[in-house]
Order: sequence, then structure tokens, then C-alpha cells
Amino acid sequence: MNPVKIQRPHCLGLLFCLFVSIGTCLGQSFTVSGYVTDAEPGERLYGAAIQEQQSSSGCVTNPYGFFSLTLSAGQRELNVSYVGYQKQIYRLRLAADTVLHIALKSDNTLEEVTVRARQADSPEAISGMKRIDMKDVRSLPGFLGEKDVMKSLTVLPGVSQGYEGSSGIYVRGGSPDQNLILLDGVPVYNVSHLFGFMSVFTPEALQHVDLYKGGFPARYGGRLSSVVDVHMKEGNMYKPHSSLVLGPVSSEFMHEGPVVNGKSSFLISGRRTLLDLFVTEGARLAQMNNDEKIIPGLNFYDTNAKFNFYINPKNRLYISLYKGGDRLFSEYSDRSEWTTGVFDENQTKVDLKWGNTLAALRWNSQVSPRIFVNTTLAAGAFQYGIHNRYSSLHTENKETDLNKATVDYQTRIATHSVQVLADWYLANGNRLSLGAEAGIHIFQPGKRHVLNSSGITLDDGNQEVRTIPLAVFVEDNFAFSNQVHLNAGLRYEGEFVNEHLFNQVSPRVNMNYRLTENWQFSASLATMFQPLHLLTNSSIGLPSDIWVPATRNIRPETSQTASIGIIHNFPGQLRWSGELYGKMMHDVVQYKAGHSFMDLAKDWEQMVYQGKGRAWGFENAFDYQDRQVKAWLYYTLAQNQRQFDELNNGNYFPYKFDRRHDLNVGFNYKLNEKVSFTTMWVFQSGQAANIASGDYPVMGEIAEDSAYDPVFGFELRGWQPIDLTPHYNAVRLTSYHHLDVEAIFTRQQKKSTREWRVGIFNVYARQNAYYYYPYVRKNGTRGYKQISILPFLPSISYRLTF
Amino acid sequence: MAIALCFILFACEKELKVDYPDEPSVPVLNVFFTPDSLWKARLVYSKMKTDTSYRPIKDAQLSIVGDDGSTTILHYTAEGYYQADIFPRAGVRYTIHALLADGTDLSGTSFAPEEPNLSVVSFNSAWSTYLFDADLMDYSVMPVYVNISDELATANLQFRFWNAFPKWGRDVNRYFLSSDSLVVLEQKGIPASVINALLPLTDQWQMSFYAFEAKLNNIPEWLNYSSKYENILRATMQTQPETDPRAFDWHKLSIFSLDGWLQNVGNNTSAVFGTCRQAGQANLLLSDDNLKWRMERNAPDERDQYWLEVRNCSPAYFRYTQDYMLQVSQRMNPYAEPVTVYSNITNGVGIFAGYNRQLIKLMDY
Repeated sequence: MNPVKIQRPHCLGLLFCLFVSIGTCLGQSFTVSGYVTDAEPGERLYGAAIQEQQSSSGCVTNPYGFFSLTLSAGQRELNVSYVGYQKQIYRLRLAADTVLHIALKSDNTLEEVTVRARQADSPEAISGMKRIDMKDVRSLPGFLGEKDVMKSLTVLPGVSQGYEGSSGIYVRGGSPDQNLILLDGVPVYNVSHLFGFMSVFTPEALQHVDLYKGGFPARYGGRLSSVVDVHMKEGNMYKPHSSLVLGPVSSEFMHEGPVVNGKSSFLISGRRTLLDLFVTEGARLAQMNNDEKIIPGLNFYDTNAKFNFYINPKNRLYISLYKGGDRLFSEYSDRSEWTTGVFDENQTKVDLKWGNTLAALRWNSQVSPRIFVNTTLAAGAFQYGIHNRYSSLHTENKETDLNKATVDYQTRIATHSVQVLADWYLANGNRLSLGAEAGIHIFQPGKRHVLNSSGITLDDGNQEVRTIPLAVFVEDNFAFSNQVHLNAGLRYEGEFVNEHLFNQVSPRVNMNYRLTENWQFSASLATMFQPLHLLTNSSIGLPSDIWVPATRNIRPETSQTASIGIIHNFPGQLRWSGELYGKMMHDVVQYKAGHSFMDLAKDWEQMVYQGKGRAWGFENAFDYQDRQVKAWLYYTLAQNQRQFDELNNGNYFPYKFDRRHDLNVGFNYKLNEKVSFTTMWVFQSGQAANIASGDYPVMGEIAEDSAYDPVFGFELRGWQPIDLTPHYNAVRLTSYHHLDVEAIFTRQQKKSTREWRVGIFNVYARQNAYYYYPYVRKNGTRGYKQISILPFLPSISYRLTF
Repeated sequence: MAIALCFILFACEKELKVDYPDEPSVPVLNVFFTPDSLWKARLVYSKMKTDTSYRPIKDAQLSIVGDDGSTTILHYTAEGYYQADIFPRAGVRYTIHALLADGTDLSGTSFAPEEPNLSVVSFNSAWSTYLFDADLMDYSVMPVYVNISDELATANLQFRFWNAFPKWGRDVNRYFLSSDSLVVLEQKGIPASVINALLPLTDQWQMSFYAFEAKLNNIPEWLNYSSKYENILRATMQTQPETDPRAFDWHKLSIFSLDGWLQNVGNNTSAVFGTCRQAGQANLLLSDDNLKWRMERNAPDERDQYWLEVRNCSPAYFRYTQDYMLQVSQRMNPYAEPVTVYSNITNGVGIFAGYNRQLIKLMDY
């Protein structure tokens, strides 16, 4: 029997196939994709850098921690890094599309903390963008020891607060309504607690905050001046963790942990003030036997919940919930007995309630190795209500006469939306994002119901309006090289209001050029569109502001912003960044003369002007950080103006919060692992005010002999002249400044960490004006008085994490 | 776990330090004119808030030129006032010039419209309660309907409600006792001592019956029979209603309207303003708790008069008056946007504006 003889042609053919196969494998490209997370608690990291050692190809993770890198087949070494975490090296043999889940360990050694120019395509390479981590928020001294996200933003150049204690922020000349504030993708329409001294964000429940002052990516829209994107923690996937904070104003509790280890997690937190327990109950006890009683009350609360479900390696589901509110109330009662059997009992109850309710369902899906999709269903609402009750009972010889009156007022805004965002990694260094949004806005600008003691009812106010917002956008993040990065996009957004469509196409461009390791330049242009307005002129943090939609009479607001910037790293740990910006705003609104939010239920369209705004500024930031010291100096020189045809003879005038100089100097010193100190000095030029500098007589026959405000009870007597204000907002109030210090004492134990914070807000008791009002001096001239409520304030608070 | 809380919060109040811009004083020219009043102007400088009085401008040359060819020169009197013994005419457009010593020339133009000539269609004492939405207060009101003719179909109107009460020492009527009628009084039994006391008061109009009472209250014969003698004396006298408004104290009362085109300004209740769109009827609500109380108890006071005032306003007057009322109305509201009062004076501030007024007596009560 003859053996099977392999013919030579067949051998050659087999060898050929083998070599071809090997050769094919060696020339092919495959995609490595996946997620980068914190090793514990498993939070996804945005902006982590992944770079392939041999080819130098790289990318950064998107906001959901996803990355995608296309590499040639073969042995590959991936360097994965993120600020504050230990660098990791992944070695793999790439022979097919591969999915990786990379967990980075936190790095507490400060050698790794270097101040350096950000990677060209990292999030913070965007001009005007800044990320704030919660540890940065906690390191700043706060009002009565309270750590607040919105307050921490005001430390940054280009961001200022309004009045003392206000939680509204003014970004590059804009007003508070021009900030898109998101909590896990849901718009928050009112962020104030406690008259604006605190915001609705509970620090223990948050992961980080991204602030965009300019260079807005096309995925964001609907506001002119900034985006404050607040991200909640996702919940620790591996072990339970809790924290408790007890402070003089509020206390909070947070608990997170796995539902199924490594697969799903949850987080719940709650915060409440304890003020009312002392103030209200103390007043009740003290006045228990009084005929006349005044019982005030004030409280606020926040609750957060987050659920995180790992469905499979390519799909993840998140649920975010928030509910919070404030209540301010006062009960007045008095009883007067005239003679036996004859007495009067009067009672007045004033009750103000306001709050937000938010919910979001987010689905992350990796459709293919290069396509990531995020779908978000969001719902949010803010409402404010006033409920006043008056009653008067007259009793005479057992016969009673009861009079009652009620005033109810409500305003509300709600949003329901769906957004789909797809990140498509076309090539290494080129990520194309496509998205679409649709939803519904519901506006109730103010509705009043009055029932007076005569039985007369009054129902007035504005009707509910529903609008439909729509948007589609495309955005390309393109790294031309390791030195040049471009983020360019186009956003089309529209709003249907009463069958009328307002719309705009908004181009966005942001370019970043790294000349050397130590020199970096940036430039950006952005057009923004805002189809809703906030009617506001109140000076304290009561939710008296009313959100209204654009209409045919009151058009949407638009803006164009341009900026150029430079970053330089000095030898050592000192870094300087400078940014020059200019902004034009169109169709901004302002209440007409003589009108205010007190015109609760009038037709709002008749109460406002529309005009223009312009702002420019030069922001400077000096940062220094080493093992023990962190210092900063932020200075902004800026000008901010408005123009309305009906005011100031149609000339530009200073905006109320035009503050020429804004300076923030801070110093944080870590003595050792247990003790650290922080001090911060804040300075802002005086705001502009429209206070009459003079007056002149009115024609006698129409002269009014008193000026009285029935709501606040302020009164001026005597013939009233005409106030003379030659130029609008020409008066400057005194500058605003204060010095805050804080000492932190930390004790690390086996299973817990305890922290005491002792601080003083406003060390030298500067009396910054919170509020001012007119009055008549003894010599008959008219002046103004200011009320300051935050002089020297010591505080102590306690934080326990376990 | 030990918890220590420290909370100190207190409010401080002090004078607000305001860095006023260095603005010079501005000349102020104020003129309201109407055909039933002589020309009168006031010329002063504005003052800073820290000053207590206005500096009058004494040496200016004021002239008013009408498009009817008339020229009126005003002469200085006192306290910044200038006047002329001439009445403006309705329908004539006037321009005022005030030339100051430093060469500044203030000017303004306006006219006085025709008299409104409205008529009250009806009013009744059916009192009801009106809830004013600006201050949410209840007001007792009675309705008054006023007819607006075609001539006023586009007029700017202002309505006010007044209570007029004679000033001390004056009366709603004037009284005249002729010397000839003393004989009649004597024949009717008035004592000679009373006749002698009345003699100095004869043959001249007296502002009040009190002028006679003051003379007679010291005479015992009069006091013993005062009610009988007073009736005789009153029957013998001539009377005529007092028409000089200066004889009365005028008090503004509250007025409202249910018509959409007539509105109060801010929380001010003393006037309603509106621009007519067509002839027809204006529905007004007049408020006076005192009047309501007396009507309910049928307790009139014959010296009390109630008047409805209508002003046909030039555009300048209309705008200035409303702006002023709105500015004052919101002056103590720290949240209201500031109001700039209209001025039609070039090179200065103030107002030169005409109006024409009609006073309609509603009742004595």
C-alpha cells in the first residue's frame, strides 16, 4: 500500500494560506473598547487617558467612562491614567475586538498630584471649562461650616455671586437664569435654600461638577451663559459606605452600597435643617402665656436616591431621584379682652413653600465597539406657593362675629424630556457625537386666588402655557495631533410656543493648541439660544422669580461669546491661566419701571422690556500645589452692561452686578495627616445701584404727601419730590469683602474617619449689605439703610464616614 | 458621639454709604396751565439728597409764545415763582422759554385741551365692596356713571373724587345783610342791642354765618332767644353758594373703575387714568367710608360736599402725572424697578403741560 503522498503544489498552497493568515492578522485593526472606573466605589471616570505605547494612539473616556481605540493586531501595551489615580499598564494580545473594564486605584501620594497642562483632548482642554471635585468643595471654608457646590463655583474667575448670601451665580456678565444647571441631566430651575445661603445640592451625594463658562459643546443648549453639570455619585459597587455630617445649620446623612456586588448599587442621602427645632419651638415656649404671639419657622430638606444596574457588559441602567424644598412660615395671634365677655382674637398665618422634584432614567449602551449610546428620560419641576390665612373673631356677650380671608398664589415650571446621544469613534482621536432631544415645558407664571372677609373672590394671573423644545446636534472632538485639538459642533434648537416656532442654528468651536509641555493656547466661539426667561428683581433668595416662555411679544434670548486663553506652567508647581472673553446678549429682559415680582398676578408680557447686553473680561488664575500647600489667586477684571431703548435714553448702562474687580485669594496648609487649615479672602467691587442722587419739586397740586408700601409697611411722610437719576445705575455701593478661616481635625480609625471643622465666617465682621431700603433722616433728607446679616460667624461641624 | 452646635445670627442695620456721582444741579422748570388759572411757573435748581431746600432761580427771563401769535412775559414774585396776569387759552399750543443768567435756555411745548364737559348719567347710594388688587384691601364703593361725548373719544382723562369742607371760619354759602333790612328785623322783634351789633356787618358779603354769630354770642338778649332770632335773621339775609375753591379744604378720596381702559397707578387710589377709545360711558367706583357710614345712619352734614373732578390732559400732563404717582407709589417697595418721571423740558428737567378741568358736584351730604 502506498502512503498518501502530499503533493508539492498542495504543500505550497497550505503554506501560502498559513502565511496569508498570519499576514492578515498582523495587518488588521481591531477595536479595544470599554470603561474606566474607580476601583472602589466603581464610579466611571470621565476624561481618563488611554494611550497605546507603541503607536502613541490614544483617546480619553467620554462622560460615561467609555473609550474606544482602534489598533493594529498584535502585542499592545495600554497606559491608562487619570489625575489622582495610579497609572495602570495593560498588556494584551490584540487579535479581535476586545472589551476591557479598567479599574484604577486612587493615589493618595501627593507626588502624583502635579499641576500640569491638561491633555489636549481632555475635558478641561475646553476653553472655559472647569471640573470641581467634592474634595475641592469640602476644602473651602463655608457659611457656618456648610459646604456648598454653588458657593464653591463663585471662587472661580469669571463667576460671581450677587448679593451677600445669594446662591445665584453670575457668569461672565450673564444673569442667574442664563445658567443651565443640571443634576444628572435634569434641569434644576431654582437652586436656593435658606434665602440663597445654600444650594439644593447635598455634597455627600455628589461626585463632581463640571462648569462651562464658554466653549460650550453642542450637546448643551437652552441657556446663554453657563452650564453647571452636577453629577451624583453612582453608588459604591463593592462595599457599603456611609457618612454623617452634623452642622449648625443642617445635617446630612448618606448611605451607599452594592445591591449585587459588582453588578448593581444604590445611594440614598438626606439633609435637613435643624433651625426650626430651636427657633420655632423656642418661640412657642417663650410666648406660651402671652396674649400676643409671633411664631416664626423656617426649614428645608433634600433627599437624593440613585440606583445603578449593570445589565450586561454592554448595557447599564441608572435611576436618579431628588426631592427637596423649603418652608418659611409665620403665625401671629393675639387676644384682647376689652371688658368681661368682650374680646377679639386675631390670627394671621403666612406660609411659603417651594421646592424641586427631579427624576432621570439613563440607559448606557455600547451598540458596537465604536458606538456608545446614552438615552436619558428626564422630568423635573419647581413650584412655589404662598398660602396666607387671616381670621378675626369678635365675641361680645357670647355672640361671635368671624371674618376670614385667604390669599393663595402659585407659580410652577416643569420639564419632561428625552435625549439620545451617540458617541461614534470614527478613528483614534476623532469622536463624533450625534444627538437629539425632545420634550415638553409647562409654565404656570403666576396664579392668584383671593377670598376676602366680605366673601369677595378674586382670581387672576397668567394662564398655563405648554411649549415643545426640540434639538438636534452634531459635535466632533478631533485631535489633529498630540498638540492640536478641535471641538466643533452645530446645534439646531427650536421651541414650539402656541403654534409658533422659535429656532436657531448655533455653531460652536473650541480649539486647543499645546505649544510645549508648559505652554498651551485655546480659543472658542459659541452661539447660544434661550427660549425662556426668568423675571426677577428680588434682592433676597426668596423664590419670587418667575419662569416664563418666549412669546411673539417677548422673543427668545440669544448670545455670541468668544474667548482666547493661555495656560503656562512655571518651574515648580505654579500654574497661570489667563482668558479674555467677550459676549453679546440679545433680547434680555428686565421688569419695566415701577414693576416687580410683587405684581404677582398681572400679565407678565406687559411688565417687561427687552434689550441687549454686552460683557467683556480678563480672567486670571494662579494655582500652586505641593505636598502640603495649596494656594490660589483668582482675579477678574470685567465690565457688564445692558441697553434698553426705554431706559437711560437708550444708552448702555452698568448692569446691576457689574463688578469691575473680583478677587479671590486662598491658602490651604496641611500640617500633617490630622490637621489642616484653610483661609480665603473674597473681594468684589461694589455693585451698581439705581439710587437717586438728587431730587426736584413736583407741581404742588398733584404732590403726594406720603409714600407707603402696604406689603412691607414702610412709609415716608411729607410732600414727595421727584427723584432725579441722571444716569441709570450710576451709583456704586461699597465693596464686598470678607475673610474666612477654617481648621480641620481628622482622626482616621480602623473602620471610620472622624472630622471636626472649626471655622469663622467673616473674621473681621465686615458689614456687607444684604438688603437696603429708603428712609427719612431726622433732618428731613432721605437716605438709605442697609441690613447686614453675616458678621463674625463662628461654627463647628462634625463629619463621620464609615 | 458628642455633638456641639454653635449658631450665632444677628442682623445689623446702619446707614448705607453711597458713593454718589458728582452731578451738578439741574435747572427745573415746572408749569401746569389751565384756562381757569393765571400763568404761573416755578424755576429752581434740583438738589442733592443731602440738601434740605431748593435754590430758586431769580433772574431768568421767562416768556410764553402761543401759536395764536400771543406772547406772555412772566415776572418773578418769590421762592422761584414767576407769574403773569393772563389766562392761557384752550386749544392754543404754547412754547415756554426760560433764559437763565448763564445763557442756558430751557424750553417746552404743550397745550391745554378743551374742557371735558362730561355729564354724570347716574349715581346711587347702593354701596358695595370692591377688592383692590394692588393692595388686596376692601373698599366700600358706590357706582357713578359718566357720559363721554364724541369730542372726547380719544382724550386722555383723569378722574378724581373729592370731599370739600369749608375751611374754618367759612361756610358753604356766603351771607349778605343789607342795612335796609335792619328795619325789617326791628319790626320783627329783634332787640336793639342785636341790631346795633349787626350794623358793622351789613352791606358786605360774609364768608360764614359764624361772622354774625361771633358778634351776637356776647349779647344776652340774643342768647336767650337765639334759635327764634336766628331763624328771623336767616330769612332776612341773602345767600349765595360759595364757589371759590380756596374757601374749602379739599380731601382726596379713593376712586376705582371696573372699565378696562381706566386704571389706578401702582397702589395709589386717589385717581384713575385712561385714554378713551370711543364715546360712551365710564363706570367709576367712588369710595368714602365716612360717607357710607353717615348715609346708612341718615346723618348728613350739610357742609360736606362731594365732587367729581375730570381732567382732559395733554399728553405731557398725562404721562408726567402717572409717572410721578407710580414713582411715589413704589418708592418704599425695595424690589420695584426705579421709575424715571417724564420731562419735556430741554436743557433741564420738569414739566410744561396743559390740562382742562371740570368739577361736577355730586351731592351735599
